[in-house]
Amino acid sequence: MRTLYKLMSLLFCVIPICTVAQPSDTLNIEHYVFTTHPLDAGRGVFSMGAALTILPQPLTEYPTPAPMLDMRWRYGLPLQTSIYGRAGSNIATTLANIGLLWSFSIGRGSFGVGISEMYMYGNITYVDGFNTIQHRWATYPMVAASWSFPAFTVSGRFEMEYMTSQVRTIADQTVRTAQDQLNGGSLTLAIEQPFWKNTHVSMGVTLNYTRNPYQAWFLFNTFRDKMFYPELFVGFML
Amino acid sequence: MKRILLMIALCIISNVAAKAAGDTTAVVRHVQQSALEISISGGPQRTFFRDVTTPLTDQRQFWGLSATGKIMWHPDHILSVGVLTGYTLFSTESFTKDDIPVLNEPFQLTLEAVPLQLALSMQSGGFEINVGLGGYFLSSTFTGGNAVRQANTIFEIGVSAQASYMFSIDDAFSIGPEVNVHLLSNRGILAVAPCLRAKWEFLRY
Amino acid sequence: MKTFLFLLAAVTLVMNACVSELAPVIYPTIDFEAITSTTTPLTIEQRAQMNGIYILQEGRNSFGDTVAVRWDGEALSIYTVKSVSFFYARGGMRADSARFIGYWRAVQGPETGEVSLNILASEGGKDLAAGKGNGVGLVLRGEVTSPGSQRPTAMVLTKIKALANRTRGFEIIGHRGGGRNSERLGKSENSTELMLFASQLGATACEIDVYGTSDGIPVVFHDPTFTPRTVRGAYLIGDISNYSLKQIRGFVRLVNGEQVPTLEDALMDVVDKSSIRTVWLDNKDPRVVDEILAIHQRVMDHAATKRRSIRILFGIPTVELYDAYMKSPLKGTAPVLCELDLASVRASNAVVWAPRFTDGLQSEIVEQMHKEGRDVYCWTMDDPAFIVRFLTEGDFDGFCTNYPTLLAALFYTRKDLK
Repeated sequence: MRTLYKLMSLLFCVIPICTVAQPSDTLNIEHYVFTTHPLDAGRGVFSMGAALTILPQPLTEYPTPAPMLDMRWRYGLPLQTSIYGRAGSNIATTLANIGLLWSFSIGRGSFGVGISEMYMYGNITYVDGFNTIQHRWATYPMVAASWSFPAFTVSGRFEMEYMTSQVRTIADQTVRTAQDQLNGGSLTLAIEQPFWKNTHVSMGVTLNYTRNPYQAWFLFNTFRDKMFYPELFVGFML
Repeated sequence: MKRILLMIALCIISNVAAKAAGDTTAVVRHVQQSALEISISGGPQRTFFRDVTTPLTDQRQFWGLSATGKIMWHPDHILSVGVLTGYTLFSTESFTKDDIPVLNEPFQLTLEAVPLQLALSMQSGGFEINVGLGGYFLSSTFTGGNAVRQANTIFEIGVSAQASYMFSIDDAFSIGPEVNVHLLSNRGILAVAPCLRAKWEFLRY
Repeated sequence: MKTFLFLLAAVTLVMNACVSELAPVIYPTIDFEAITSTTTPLTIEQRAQMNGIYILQEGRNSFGDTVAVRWDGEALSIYTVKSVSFFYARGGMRADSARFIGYWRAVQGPETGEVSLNILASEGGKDLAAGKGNGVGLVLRGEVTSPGSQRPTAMVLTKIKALANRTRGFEIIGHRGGGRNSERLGKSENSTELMLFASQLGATACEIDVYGTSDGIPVVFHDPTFTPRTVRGAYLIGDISNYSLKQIRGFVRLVNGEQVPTLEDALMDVVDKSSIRTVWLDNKDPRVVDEILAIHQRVMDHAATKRRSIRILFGIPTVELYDAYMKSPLKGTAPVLCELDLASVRASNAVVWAPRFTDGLQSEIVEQMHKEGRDVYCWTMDDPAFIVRFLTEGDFDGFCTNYPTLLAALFYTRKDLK
C-alpha cells in the first residue's frame, strides 16, 4: 500500500510537468551560474561580484557585515554533468570551492545533485591582537533545483556542511580541532536574469544554519548551538 | 490520511507549476525602453517590538506612520535598482512623574528612523516587489517635563520590503496600494504599514 | 501573478532569516529549601574532605571520565571537561550518609537537567560524618535527568585524589563577571547577580567592565553603547555616556531583568556576599578614573572592617586609560593590572601584566615578570585545546575565560602543573 502511494505521488507530480517540455535554448540558461539546467559540454559560465554575510549577534555581539569578493563559475561536461565552484576573498579570509554536479531538466524545471570540497585559509596576523591563522577543509553534499520563468530563472540549493579539518595557529601554538564534524547546512535562493541590454545578473541569499561560520573563523567560536545568518550575494555574468 | 493530503498537495503544486510553465512561450519579455522613476508612499504603521520598550509597561505594539521615497533606474528588463529613503515613526510613549519615581519628572519618549537603503525591484504586470538593503538612522528622543530634549541617533542595519500593485493613470504616472515592511532584527523591531503609493516615470530613453 | 507570489514568498523567507538568537535555556526549578531543612550542613573540614578529583563509573557518556568536585560556601559544585558542564547542588549530612540535589548545565549549549547524589554510609559516609580520612574512595551515587530523555540516567563518581594546585597559586577569572550573555547562565553579564554566582561556576576571581555615565558615575557595563544584546529598553540607544544613572535606572534593565549596577554597589556586594578573592576592573572610560580609584579605597576600607581578604585590580587596557591613570592624583592607591607593553607595566608599577593569549606563551617574558614580582594573567581563553596547552607549557598565574567551569575542570584535574 505504501509503495502504491509513493508511485501515485510520483506520477501525479511528474506527468503534468513532463507534458510541457521546453527546448533549453528558449530559457536563457546558458548565461547562468546557479541554474541546474544541464550545460552543454565545453561551455563555461563565470560571474563576478560580491557577497555580504551578516554574522550572528551571539557570535560577534553585534550583527556584523562581513563582505567578500565573490566569483562563481560552472563548466559543462558530458553526460549532463558540470563542474561548479566558487572563490572569494576579503584578505582576512580566502576560500576556494570546487564540485561536480549531475542534473537533468524537465521542461522549465531542472534538478541536480552534487558534491563539492572547500578549502579556506584565514590569516589575520596583521591586525593587532589577532595573531592567528586557520586552515579549514569542508565537504558540501548538495541537492538543487531550478525553474525558468519567462523573465528570470530561480534556483535553490540545499547543502550540508561537513567539516573535515580545522587547524588553528596562534603565535607559536598550533592545534588541530573539530575534525569530521557536521557543522550544519544552508539553503541558497538565487534569481538570475538579464539586467541591462545583454548584461545578466545573479543575486540572492544563502540562509546558513551552522555552528562554526567560516566568515568568523578568527573568533574561536565555542558554541555548540547552530546559528542562523544570511549571506547576500550579487554577481555579474562575464 | 496524511499521505493522501500530501499526494493531493503535490498534485496541485505540480499542476500549478505545469500551468505556469505553459503560460507563455516568450523567451524574455523585453521592456523596450529604460526609465528613471521616482515614487513616494505613505500610511499608518503598526510596530511590533520583540521585547518591552521600557521596564515600566508590558506594551510591545504601537501605532505610528511610515513614508518612503525611491528613485529607481529601470533598465530594459524587469529588474530595477535605486535608492530608498523616507521616515518612519516606530513608537511614542508618555510617562508621568509617578510612573518613574527615580526621575521625578514626566517624560515623553519617541523612537523614529530614516531608512537609507539600496533598493532592488522587480515588476510583473502591475505587481511590484521591492527589497531595501541597508540600514536606518534610528533616533530616540527624550522630552522631559521641563522641556529638556535629549536626542540620540545611531545607524542600525535593517531591511525593508514593499509589495504593491500599480494602476496606470497615464503613460508616466501610476498609483496604487502598497504594503511596506521594515525589519530591524537586531533591535527586535518589525513594522508593517499599509500605504498608498504614487510613481512617476520622469525620464525614458 | 505567479511571479509576484513567488517573489513575495522568497522575500518573506529572507526577512525571517535575519533574526538569529540562541535557544533559551529553561533551568529546572529545584526546591533547595526542602533539602537544606532536612540535612545538617557539612563542616569546613567535611567539605575539604569531599573536594577532589573524581572518576566516573557511570555517566561517562555525558560528563567524561574525570571531574572536579569542589565546595564553595554552601554549594557543592562539579566541573566537567566533556560537555563543559557545571553542577550546582545543595544538601548535607543525614546521620552517616549525605544527600545533595541540584541542577547541571552544559555551558556551551542549551542542555540542562536535574541531579541528585547520595553518599552511603558504606561508601565513605561514615568516615565523612566522623571527619576521618582524606575522602579518597568516597562515592557519590545518584542520577541525572537529561533533555529529551524520559528516564534519569545513573551517575556514580569516586574520589581518587585531591584537587591539583599550583605553587604560585592560580586565578580562574570569570570574564564579565562569570560569562557572557550568550552563555545563558540565567544571570546577565556584568550583573551583581552573576558576580555572586561566579564562584559556583568555578571562578576564583572575576573580571568586570566599567564605564561612566553622563553624570560621572562608574557603572559595570561592557559595551560602549546600549544594544539589545545587553539591555531591554528600546529608547536608550547610543553611547552609555550620554545617559545619567537615573535615566539608565528608569528606562533599561539588563537582559535577565537586573539593574545596571554601579561599580561601588557591585564591589560592596562582592565583598559582603561572595568568596571571590580577586576582581579585575577592566576600565573603559578615562573620564571616571579618579572616581574608580576613590571607590576602590572605600571598598577596601569596608573589606578591612569585615576582615575580608580581597584584591581589586585597577585595569589599564588602553593607552588612553594609562594616560588618565598616570595623571590622576590618586595614582598608586590601588594595585594595577596593565595589558600594555612592558614599559607601561613598569612605569605604572603594575602588580599584574595581562597579555592576550594570541601573543603565545611568551615564556621568557613571563619568567621576567615573575622575577620582578608581578603576576601574569592571560585572556581570554575559551578553547580547551589552547587552555590545556597554556596550562601545561606556560607558567601563567591565571586565565580570564568565559568558561570558568571548563578552566576549573582542566586546572583541578591536571597532572602536570608547575
